Amino acid sequence: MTSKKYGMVIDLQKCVGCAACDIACKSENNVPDDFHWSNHIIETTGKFPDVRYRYVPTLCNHCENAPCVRNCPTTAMHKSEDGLTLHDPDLCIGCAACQVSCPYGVIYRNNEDPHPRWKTDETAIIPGCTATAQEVVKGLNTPIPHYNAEREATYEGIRPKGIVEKCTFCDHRLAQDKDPWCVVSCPANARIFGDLNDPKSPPRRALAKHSPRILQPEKGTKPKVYYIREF
Amino acid sequence: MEPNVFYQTQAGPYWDWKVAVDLFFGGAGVGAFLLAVGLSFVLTRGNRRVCQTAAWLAPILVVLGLLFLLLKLGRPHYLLLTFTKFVPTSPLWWGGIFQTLFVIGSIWYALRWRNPDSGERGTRILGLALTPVAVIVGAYHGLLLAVINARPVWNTGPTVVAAILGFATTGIAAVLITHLVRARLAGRLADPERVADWLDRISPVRNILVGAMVLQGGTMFFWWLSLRFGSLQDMQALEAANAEYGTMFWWLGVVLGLAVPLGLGALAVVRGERAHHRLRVQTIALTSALILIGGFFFRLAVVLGGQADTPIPTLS
Repeated sequence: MTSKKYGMVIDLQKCVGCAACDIACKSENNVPDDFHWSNHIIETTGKFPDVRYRYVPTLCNHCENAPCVRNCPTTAMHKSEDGLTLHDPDLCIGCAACQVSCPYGVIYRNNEDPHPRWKTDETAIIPGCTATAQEVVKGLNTPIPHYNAEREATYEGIRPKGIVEKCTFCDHRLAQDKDPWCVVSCPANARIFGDLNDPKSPPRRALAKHSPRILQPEKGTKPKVYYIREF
Repeated sequence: MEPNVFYQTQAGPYWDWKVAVDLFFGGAGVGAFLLAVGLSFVLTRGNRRVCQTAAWLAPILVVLGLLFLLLKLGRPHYLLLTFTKFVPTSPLWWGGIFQTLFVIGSIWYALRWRNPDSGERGTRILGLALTPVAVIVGAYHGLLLAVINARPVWNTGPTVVAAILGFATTGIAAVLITHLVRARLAGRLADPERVADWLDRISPVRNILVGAMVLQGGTMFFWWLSLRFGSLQDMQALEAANAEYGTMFWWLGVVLGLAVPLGLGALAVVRGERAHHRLRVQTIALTSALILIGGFFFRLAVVLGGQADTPIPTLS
């Protein structure tokens, strides 16, 4: 029996560019403010009235031939049996070799402690009425208000200073046979996720039906995030 | 019409000046070591002091570079993990292993130069045995950047060649300037006869340096050519690097660190013994200092310029 190989197909004709995936990812994975595990490229071409607008959602491509994995000196960045490109915080020395190696700019490094606002902000929006960020943390007794204990099942709940982080295809949800949260949260069902080794899986069927494209094919990274159709 | 692309990623550069300092010191250390090994074979016993200087500089410079690299790491205390893993695809892993071997070996080599009882033959054999390690460490300082195909400015063959030649020029310059200081402190430059003697001994090193600089200039030209007439991404990367770090690269790296020293070096070779001794010593000091300053800024411009923002290629 062959193991699973996860992949995602993004239907650009269905995608409305609402960025719900970006926000869903942030809340599910405790992604710091300036980091974008789920991201998007906006491209505008031409001049009014002949203008073309393109919105391309991006995330870690979980490349088969991942340069971040190749260049990591400690195997912190590694390939899992089911094709995910994962990061082990316990092995990371924070050299940023993965970050400079990634042609897609999807790896982020915690140069400072993440979520600093919850530790330092003492300003209440309405003094004497609303709580300060510090008071919220104290009241909830969690590291940050949107801390997700489920997330910690397979990864650091909140990544410490000095190491990198990236999209995991929500491996903690995959472990429970659930789809990544960005897939579930997409209101247009533009994200199709599943096992690429299974010919009957939704992504395989979508890939067979349409001509898929990938980002920067010339880099030879063999991404596992595909794009189909377009307006 | 060129598309307007918006893509918000973490602001760089991801590898900052500390990486450039590591490349600079590491390269200079390897250059100094190879000079010591080379001189131990071709020069006479009278040049023992130059070899000593070079042999001692090697581990000191490489360790200095490594210290700056440690500063760059987010979790330097986890570094030992590198030695518990086998990751042959990672230049950083190779660098960690071979730099450690090199530091241990070069300290041993330097200690043999310090000890007058150490047999010269044994020292030469040890130097030869460590030479492949030194070459690998020197090449690593170029390969580290060259294997990263996400960065077109780095991802070229001349990157490796420039690193190798760079360690030759900066290594020799570091030895020359240190040796000059050492000779001055020991009073060996006090009278004209001793200066002439010192200059005679140093002249082969100076000639090697001039040759290395010529090759370095040629490599830089081919590097520029490969990017200027390469793919669209190559051209965009070169343009972005030039826009942000062009002044540093061309004026400090190439003109100040290569063209001016090359001119001074060539003049010294042509004029030979006709120039005044004092002027010849000053020229050596100035040339070496310029090569070191330029060598550092060249690496800094390459490290930072290679990460300059370029438009992210979208779906074609």
